[in-house]
Amino acid sequence: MDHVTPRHRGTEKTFGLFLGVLESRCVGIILLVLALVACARLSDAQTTASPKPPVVKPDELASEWFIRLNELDDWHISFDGKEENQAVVDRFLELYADEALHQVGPSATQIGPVIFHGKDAIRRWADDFSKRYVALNYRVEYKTRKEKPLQPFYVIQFPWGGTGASTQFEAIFTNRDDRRQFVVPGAVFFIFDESGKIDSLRLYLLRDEATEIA
Amino acid sequence: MGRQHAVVVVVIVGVWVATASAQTRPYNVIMKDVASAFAGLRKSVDASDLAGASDNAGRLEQLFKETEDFWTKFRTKDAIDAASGARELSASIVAAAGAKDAQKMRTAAGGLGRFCTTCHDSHREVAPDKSYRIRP
Repeated sequence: MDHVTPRHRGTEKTFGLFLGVLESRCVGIILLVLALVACARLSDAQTTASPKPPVVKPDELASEWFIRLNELDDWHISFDGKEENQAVVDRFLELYADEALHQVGPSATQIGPVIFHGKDAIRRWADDFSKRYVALNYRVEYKTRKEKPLQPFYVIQFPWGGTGASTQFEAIFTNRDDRRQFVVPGAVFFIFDESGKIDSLRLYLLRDEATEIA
Repeated sequence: MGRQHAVVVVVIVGVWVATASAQTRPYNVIMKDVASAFAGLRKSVDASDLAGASDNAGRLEQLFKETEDFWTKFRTKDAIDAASGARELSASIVAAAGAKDAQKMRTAAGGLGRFCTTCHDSHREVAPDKSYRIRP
């Protein structure tokens, strides 16, 4: 330090002061960055704790069910007399979870609730439905207010994960055997699992309100 | 006795084979035969060829029976009704031709096409490649 001149000493003092300010600002910036990182981590932790939003909207899932239900009549009979409906039945079943429940009203020869559990059982229902009706047109009932028509689905996000949807519809179909055509009002309630598959479905058809189309 | 049994067995097997082969004929083959016989019938009727009309109508009667059998297993009423209506009308053409009643034969032959149209409207679908498919 012997070689330091008084002029140099002044410079050294100024430089030291500058370093002190810089040091305190750096500490401040570091503290700020650390605080931001902590906040971000806390926010991430909160996000992972809450249920993930569904990948597909429940109304879109329900709408797809109507499309595939109506496709159940879209098959052909082979020239050697085989009913080739398996492709449309498979496509319909893709919407269901493996252990899904599918509940419908009793047929003319049944009483009480009719519940199909699992894909094999639901396949039997879909296969029978597919062979029993033609010209299928299940359509969500329109609601119109203030000149604005809408086909509403009532949806819910369940706190345990998964979603639900329900809607009213009109079932328009023709009996394959006697070719009689009907309109029947109905409602359907879906519970979807977190992957968007149908976990449970309840289908109501108000057969007492059925109208035959002449 | 043994000979009689053998004859009975041969007859039963023959009937069974004939029935089975009739039932298993592909539907498109039946329809092509219908188209051919129907065209022949129209030509015969236009030419007032009673024998030719009777032959073609007799062939159609048999073909519409096959058509009716095809649809019966699916219990599809409109198709069964159309096929049986066409079959009965074909039989009446045969009868009219046999009775040499050209007018009656012509009238009956003219009504045959509506049964085809009714069934095709409900159950025949034309694919983009112009081939046909059967709708349930």
